[in-house]
Amino acid sequence: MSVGVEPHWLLARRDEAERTLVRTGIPDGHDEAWKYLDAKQFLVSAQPSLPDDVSRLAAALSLPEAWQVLVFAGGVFRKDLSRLASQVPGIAVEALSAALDTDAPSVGAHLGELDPLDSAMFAANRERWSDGLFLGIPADTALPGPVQILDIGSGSSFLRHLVVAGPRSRAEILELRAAPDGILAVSRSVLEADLQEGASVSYRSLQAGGDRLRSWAGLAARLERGAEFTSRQFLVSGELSRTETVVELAGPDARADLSGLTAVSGGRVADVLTVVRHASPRAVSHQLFQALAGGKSTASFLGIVQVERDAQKTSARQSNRNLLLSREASINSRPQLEIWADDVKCSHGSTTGRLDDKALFFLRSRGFSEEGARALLVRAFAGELVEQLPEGSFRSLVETLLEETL
Amino acid sequence: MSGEILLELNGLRAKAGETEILKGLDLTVRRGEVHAIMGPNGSGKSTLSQVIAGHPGYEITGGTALYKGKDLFSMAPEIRSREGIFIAYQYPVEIPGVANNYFLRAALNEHRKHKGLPELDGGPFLRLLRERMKTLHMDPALSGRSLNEGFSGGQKKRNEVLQMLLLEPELAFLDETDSGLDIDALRDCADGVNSLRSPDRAFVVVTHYQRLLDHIVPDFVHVLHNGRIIRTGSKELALELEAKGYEWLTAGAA
Repeated sequence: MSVGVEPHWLLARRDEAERTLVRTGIPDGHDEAWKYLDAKQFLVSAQPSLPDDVSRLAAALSLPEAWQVLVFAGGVFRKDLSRLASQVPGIAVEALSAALDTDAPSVGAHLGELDPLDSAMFAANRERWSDGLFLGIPADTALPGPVQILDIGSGSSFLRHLVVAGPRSRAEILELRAAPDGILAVSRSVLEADLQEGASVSYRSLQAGGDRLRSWAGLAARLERGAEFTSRQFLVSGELSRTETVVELAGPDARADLSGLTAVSGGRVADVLTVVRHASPRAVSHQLFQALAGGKSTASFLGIVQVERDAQKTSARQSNRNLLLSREASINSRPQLEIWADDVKCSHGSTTGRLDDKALFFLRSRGFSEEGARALLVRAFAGELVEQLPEGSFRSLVETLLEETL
Repeated sequence: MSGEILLELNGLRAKAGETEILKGLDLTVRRGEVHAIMGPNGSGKSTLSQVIAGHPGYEITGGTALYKGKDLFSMAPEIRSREGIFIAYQYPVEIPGVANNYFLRAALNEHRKHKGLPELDGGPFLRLLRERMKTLHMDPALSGRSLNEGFSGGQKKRNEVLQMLLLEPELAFLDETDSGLDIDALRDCADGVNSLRSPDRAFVVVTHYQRLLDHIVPDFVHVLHNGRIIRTGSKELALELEAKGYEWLTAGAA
């Protein structure tokens, strides 16, 4: 849709976002959260990919287990490449641009509301997004199957996805970001998920190819009373990747289970940032993030857990485990806990190591080649997170990409 | 017994870091034989096993080693293994995240590929695995767990012997397999070894104590001291060592 026909409230929000961006400026290395990756690298322009390459990726990466697949290329919804099922009454699965008309009240009430206030990248997306997924699920309704977002990099794009999960609803969302090899593509997407009382949303994302893909992906979720959010993020391809996951446990007894696996080699850089805010009593958050870094790559994790004064009986666990596969690779791990309540259980742990020489030798002395022994140990390290995934083509894709990367 | 020579060590010298541990060791092992190597702590018993396995922490500084007539030291550790050398380790490693059964099947299939045999599929392998585990009185649940992770001492040693039963080596070194074992585990491990004994295979049992040799009866007993074999005898030598200790042998030897 063209800017000319956008509703006033939306134009006002874009203006607000622009002012925020002017105020914050583009973060640089002085910003703790951007110490190992230059934000400007996500704000360059790029040439569009070839249409054939886009179609080929759309076909290859539309997952059979998805109920519906919405394909976006270069920020534009591609109905021709999407796989849309017949609508189920009450459930909205459509392009956000279309939802501005059809679901105006819901979109207006939520869009941009969950963005962290001071984030330049979220603001840049809020100002410039072109389209995205709108998923609205009424109360007590379960999606018939997973909804897949396929974000194909072509040039530079800003997508914004909005998920409104009504009370006690259930949804599964798969997000794949990919680009043709050999051509610079820049994707900057945000997914907002509003989980109302007792809603349950499972989200899995994967960077699924594109050796020149620069991908910044923001995820902002708010959980009301008793809501459950599960997130599995896999950064196993691409040139530069960064995920920023901001989860607010707004209601009591909400649960967030976040995990992610980064696997980088060559000269790649991958950054993972999580902010989990406990704002209500008895909420639970579990985080497990792992990284494997080979070649001259860099993998970083910054995990912030905030427990507000009223969030008594909070249980928060964060774990970051890393494996260095070469001398030149580097890993940065920074857990941060900010706790203002006094009756809480919080723990965090961070380990970084190399492959165990003893285990390598042992395996060789049982007949494994050196390469085979290394591969087995690397798979063992990555296995915990891969095995959390249900069997299916998403998992197979993760496994294939892991093999290629390592 | 006069089987074909399997392993021939001549004047073997090896050091770990700056310390020379093996100082001219001679040993000839023929197919069908069982050798016991005994000796006090620090005599070089474990080093010998590690050197045979090809551990990169040891440097060979002299002597020769022929395995099936070929230069052992020119073979990578995995080739030694696939060619039939097996070390049952004194301290089995734990590898979290690698399922025991997956590891066992992958190792077996590496050996089968090397021999030009087809790989074994899940079903036939599991049947074989269950049968071998039964021989060792191993809890079947241990096959699905991470390799040696959280295993008791006895379970780890049984697991070493289990690997041996599956890989069916031609030359097996048992490096203090009896250490830390209760009597049941000792008997299970010994039974496992004995079930493999054949005119084609040889065993080298490295131990401190005579008690394992009640179960695995050796043809030769060697006393290793200060990096060399200073006495070779029959199984009665082990009994003599048990009764008299090592000092009567080591006092005069340098």
